[in-house]
Amino acid sequence: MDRTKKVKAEVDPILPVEPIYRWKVIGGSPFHGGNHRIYKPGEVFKATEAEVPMAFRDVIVKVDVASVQEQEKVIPGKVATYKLKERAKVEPENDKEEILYDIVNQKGKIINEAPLVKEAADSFIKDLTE
Amino acid sequence: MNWTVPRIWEGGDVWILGGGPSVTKQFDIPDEVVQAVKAGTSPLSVYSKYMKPIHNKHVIGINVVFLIGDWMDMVFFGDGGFFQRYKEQLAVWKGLKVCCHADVENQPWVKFIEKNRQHAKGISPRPDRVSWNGNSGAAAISVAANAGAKRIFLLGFDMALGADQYQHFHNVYNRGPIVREDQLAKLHFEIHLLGFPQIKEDAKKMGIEIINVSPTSEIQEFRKVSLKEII
Repeated sequence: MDRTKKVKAEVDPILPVEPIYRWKVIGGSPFHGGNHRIYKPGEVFKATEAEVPMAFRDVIVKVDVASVQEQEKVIPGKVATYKLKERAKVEPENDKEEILYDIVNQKGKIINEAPLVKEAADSFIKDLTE
Repeated sequence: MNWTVPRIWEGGDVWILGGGPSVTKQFDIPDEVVQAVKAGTSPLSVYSKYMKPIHNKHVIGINVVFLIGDWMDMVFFGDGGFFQRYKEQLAVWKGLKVCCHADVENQPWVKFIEKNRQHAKGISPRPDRVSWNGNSGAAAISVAANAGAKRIFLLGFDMALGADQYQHFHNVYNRGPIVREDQLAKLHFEIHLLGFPQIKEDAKKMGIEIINVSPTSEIQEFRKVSLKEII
């Protein structure tokens, strides 16, 4: 029987990511951050809760409720969609019949101001959706 | 990616629906309905049926106003904190979502339009920028103008508290009546008003008429009318 050797798995431990917030110096004096940086009055900087001591929280305030990580997270959402609806046929001087269109949203509401030729309507839909 | 406003409303009327308390009077919304919304026993959407006169207009709803209904063409907001609080509702809302706060830049379903730092007050001459003017409602004027609006109607641009001391025609932000000194000190109406002289000047140059449908508004730069006078 082959002798087996126990091998310690080389996996990095998953450490919890500490939330980073945006902070603003609202006091009249600069704030000396833990990373040897000095933040001027009015300056906005990013730091964890632990990096801004409680004693300074009257002059250093959180800019946002949510952490930077939370804000940067892409969340699924509905993209507004539109389609074309024929409005009218026009006959210009060259006798070539032309159909004009409206852009309607999911509720059937007309989005454009004036009726459009197909190319213009398609272009607007692209502008609104891409 | 930065969005460029297309000229989809060329020559048309655009309505910007802000949150000022005068809105409910303009639409003749019964007081008991307003009180129920402010008490939180009715949702904002109960206002929708009273706003039928503008359902088929080109409408930009400002901030939480989008919760009234998806008949609005667009919701515009400029506050990253607002996005965090309402992202679930915004995500399922069917209209166009437009924001000028960098925090939403990476959300593919929100159109991000940068603030115009070279033209912070007034109306942005660039269609891929908005002049912030210190508030979302006034920033949305850049969107309407660059979409080609000939006339822009401002609703709920009171820049003042209502008779019951509410800042908005709802209480969604749960602020209640603003009566305490510390609450009053946090109001920024004077900052919100700063951009309007330049907005007036830029609108004139661009050939746009701005009409203030908030008769009690503190904004003095535009003709004030009641909704009944124009609808």
